[in-house]
Amino acid sequence: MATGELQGHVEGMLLAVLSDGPLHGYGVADELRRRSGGEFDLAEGTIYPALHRMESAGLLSSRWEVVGGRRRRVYALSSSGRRAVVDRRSTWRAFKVAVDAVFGAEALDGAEALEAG
Amino acid sequence: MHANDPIDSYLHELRRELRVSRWARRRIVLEARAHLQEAVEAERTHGLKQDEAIERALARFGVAGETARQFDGISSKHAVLLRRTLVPWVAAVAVTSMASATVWAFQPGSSAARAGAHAAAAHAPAARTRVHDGAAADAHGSARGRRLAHTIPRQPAGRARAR
Repeated sequence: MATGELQGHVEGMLLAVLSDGPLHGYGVADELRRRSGGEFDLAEGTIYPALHRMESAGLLSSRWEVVGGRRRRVYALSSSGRRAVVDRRSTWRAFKVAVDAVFGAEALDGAEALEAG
Repeated sequence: MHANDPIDSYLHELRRELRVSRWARRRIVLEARAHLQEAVEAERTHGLKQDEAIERALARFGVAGETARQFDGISSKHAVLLRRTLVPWVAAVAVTSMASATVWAFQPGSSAARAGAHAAAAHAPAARTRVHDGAAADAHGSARGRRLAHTIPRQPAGRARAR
């Protein structure tokens, strides 16, 4: 999927990924790729500005951890972040229903036109 | 840093392109390095050679300049967050310190309380009751207080109660 189509949804998806538990940046990117079945062709470096932005907004907290002798920054949802996940899921469902309705109506129109023709 | 290491070169470029505070720059570069090292290891487990794994990890991470631009404006939010956290904390510490200093200064047995008591005893006979009261309270905690309790004559009970 093109990066442009993901614009506006990246932060919501990162919050959703983190709703299952704290993860470091690579873990977030890996989980996002796994959940999307490899569909999201997102430059992995772009998740860090999003993570930092959401941390500044109070949706995430982060801390350094040492795993296997290597430091990594681990992100976790704050209470505001947990509420934001609920809000964004709700918004997404409403958006999806609306888009499905539009595409469904268009598909129906197309089918009727074919039948008429 | 190795001049020919592609990851070091990439991180050097990323560092140069970032327009954020020194603190934020250091954190971003550390996070990017950890990410790239883990990505290289993952690619290696998929059978790629080291140089191929590095190339793939860097390609997946994205162009350094473009990544850096996405951090524009975030550092100021960090500063806001820091101020939002630090200022109330410093204010709380300052108020607590001042309150503690005031309590200690006027606690019976403290130098300020003793100085005040001596001054009062020297200049006003009526103040002796206060000195006595302070000394009596002090007698619970300090030798100085006990000495004062012995040396300063106790006022008649009725007079002390009247005060």
